[in-house]
Amino acid sequence: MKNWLVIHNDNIPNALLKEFKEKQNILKFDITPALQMNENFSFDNEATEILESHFLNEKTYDCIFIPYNLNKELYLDFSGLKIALHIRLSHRLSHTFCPIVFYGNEDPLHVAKLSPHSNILFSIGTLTSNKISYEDFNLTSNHLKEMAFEDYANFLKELNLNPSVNYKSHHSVANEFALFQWSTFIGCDDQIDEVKVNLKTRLYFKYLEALRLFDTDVGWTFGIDQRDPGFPNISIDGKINEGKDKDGKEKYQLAKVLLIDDEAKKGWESFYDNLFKLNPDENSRVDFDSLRLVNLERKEVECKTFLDRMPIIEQAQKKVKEFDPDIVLLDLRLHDDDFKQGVSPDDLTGIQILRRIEKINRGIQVIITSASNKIWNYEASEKTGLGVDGYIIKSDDENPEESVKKICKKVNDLIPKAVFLKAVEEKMASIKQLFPEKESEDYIKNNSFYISSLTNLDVAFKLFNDSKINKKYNAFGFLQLFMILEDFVKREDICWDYSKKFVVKNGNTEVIVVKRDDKRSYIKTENIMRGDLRFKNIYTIGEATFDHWIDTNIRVSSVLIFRNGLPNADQYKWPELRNLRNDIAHGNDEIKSEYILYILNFLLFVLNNDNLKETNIDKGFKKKSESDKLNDLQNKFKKH
Amino acid sequence: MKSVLIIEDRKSRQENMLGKKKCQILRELEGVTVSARPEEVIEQLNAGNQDVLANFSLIIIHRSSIKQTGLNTLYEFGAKNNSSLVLFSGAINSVSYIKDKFELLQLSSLELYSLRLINFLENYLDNNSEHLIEIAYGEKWRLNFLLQYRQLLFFKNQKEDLLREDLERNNVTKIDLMIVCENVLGNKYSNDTTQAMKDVDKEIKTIMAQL
Repeated sequence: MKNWLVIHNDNIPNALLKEFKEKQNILKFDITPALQMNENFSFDNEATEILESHFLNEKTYDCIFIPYNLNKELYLDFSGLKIALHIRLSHRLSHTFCPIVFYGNEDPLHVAKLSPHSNILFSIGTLTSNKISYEDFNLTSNHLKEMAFEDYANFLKELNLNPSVNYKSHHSVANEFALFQWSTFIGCDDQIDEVKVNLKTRLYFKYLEALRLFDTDVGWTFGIDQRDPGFPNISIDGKINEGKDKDGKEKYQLAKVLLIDDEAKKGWESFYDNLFKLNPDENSRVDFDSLRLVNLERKEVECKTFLDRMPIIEQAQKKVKEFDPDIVLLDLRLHDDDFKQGVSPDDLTGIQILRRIEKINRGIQVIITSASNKIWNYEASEKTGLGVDGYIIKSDDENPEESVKKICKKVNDLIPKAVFLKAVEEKMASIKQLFPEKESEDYIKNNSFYISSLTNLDVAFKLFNDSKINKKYNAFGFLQLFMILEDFVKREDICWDYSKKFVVKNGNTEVIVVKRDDKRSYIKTENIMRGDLRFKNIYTIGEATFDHWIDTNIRVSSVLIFRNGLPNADQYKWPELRNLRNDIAHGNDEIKSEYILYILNFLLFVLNNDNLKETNIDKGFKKKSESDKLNDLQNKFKKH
Repeated sequence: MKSVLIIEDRKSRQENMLGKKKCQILRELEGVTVSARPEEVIEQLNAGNQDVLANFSLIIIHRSSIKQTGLNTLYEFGAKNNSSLVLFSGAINSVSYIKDKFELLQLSSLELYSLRLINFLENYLDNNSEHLIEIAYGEKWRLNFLLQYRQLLFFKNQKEDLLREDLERNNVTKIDLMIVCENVLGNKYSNDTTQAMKDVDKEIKTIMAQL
């Protein structure tokens, strides 16, 4: 005897129902008013619960009979078709190929005209019957066979299910399907209510999942229920080495990641939190937080409830300043106005937040997270366009393993870059603070130095930021910074090369470092310069002759000793910086990022007037007294 | 006198979906109140206060903006005052409708903020329309009742004791549904069930041919 299942909601004659009860299996599908009055009510969720509690008992049916409609009061809902689709598309229910008969008084063509799910009516393995009796059901079922395995892929294709109407507005299929798939992939789907209650049960997502998981050759492939508990073996390392402490122990800090997304509370916050927790070492996990918007009464609210974008932008800016993230995961569309047709990219809330982040610290790495199709255009203009550092594209047609791996790689790649660039930006900002006001005497006198220095700093930052495009960019950026130093020591108020002497200026005092007569140059090294090996090896120590022009090395070394009062020119890694500059000039373009920080530290030291010291002023050549000058003149005339 | 309260905490969405012009028309409809401070109304409802609902016969509210306690306040008010309730949300992906102690329609924001809304409200306020499902289905609303009525007639034709059957099941009775359908569709069908079925069938076919 054949094993049938008859689904009903008291919409078959009583006598027939009694007969079915005795001979076959019945499932009453009734969503009570109480369930419908729940704040989280969703038809798909209730349907999934009812079907799973019935089907997951390992019983198999030869045929399933379903009425067109199971809703007593909303006939046009044609919920029977939706139930059939849930059965066809959920491989968990193990009846994806089972024959289905739709029954009812309706003309199937009328149903087809009225229901968006009508493609199933005319699909393989499905029949309709307007005769409702046990005998008729028996006759109809005799005409039906289980759907052939190879027909299922065609069935999926021809089903051509469309997303529900709400996806025409703000809800994005790609956004929600990505959350569903990615959280399932990393095994946190059951911890996210939105995924567990809504997304996993949604008919359209079951369809997308079936399209992705059904392989014509092998049937259902790796699926959400066959996940290997040891999988995936991926993680994000948030540990940043900060060098050594006083005792020689390695110091570490944790990278900080901030999520700014209007859908954060709808699952994305939990997803990223769980993603970062994949790192088995608790002490190496990223420090993660997300923006929570509050209104004036300090209540947490949704982005979209704000009348305009500004409160969102300002609260995001405040959060970035307070949390000081290394990476920001930023959604572009955070406010209802961002969904208006024809909205300019520059007006998007996310882009305005991006611009504010750039002002806080250009080193913060911003990854745009978006499901918008327009993101592909933005991606094409990466760096040159929006000035972002990467994209996480929520796609509904990419393998979740690939997507999650891409996210991990992106974050892992950007953490060291962020830490480096943030430090660079902080130091550059400090250097800029040393520059005087535009109206000041100093600025007016040296304005070409300050203008070119600002340009050099900006060009250097851009080169460091783009170093992934070309490794040489770090070396080029280093040279830009070195140019600031070269320009500085050429300033008249710092050093001056007269015909008879080279002097370093320390405030109003001139220190003679090199003096010349007609035949020889003498460099004032004395003991104070012995520490600088290069200096020592090239030039004779003491008041001695040399035949070298006054190069940057002599200028900078002299500044360190006579202007800043240091005991020698070995300080602040000057010899290494000088050598590195020469190496780069000779074609070596490999440069460690720490040297970029060294030269920034060096600039911070020498450009800061607070570091002027008179310690070594007296150790320069003595200035000639008036009587000495007179003697010199007399000797000169005697010769002639 | 009918009056409508609309509580939407995402004003930009309302404007984006309905358009500025239609939004203005909506606000100016006599008998319609679009809450100017929806957060305060929502807070009152969440606290169980029904006063803010007084005198409204139809309340339209964003479902995601309110907690279950607030919904319960609305349900209690609906049952007590026989007022109708429409819940809308971007998270709702299929229309649902119940008429138990009061009428409750749930639909997506996009379905609510359509051209149908203003037509419906104008008719509703003029006492020309009382069927909430018109908001979701527009002119097809009558078809909904016709299809349902045809099915009920089919059961009647099977000579079933509908009343006994429904009392046993302790649910919305087919008798109740029959009464609703007859009220909505008008008492114009034959007392002869077979003939009534034919008439309804004909009307369904006529409407379907026009769709």
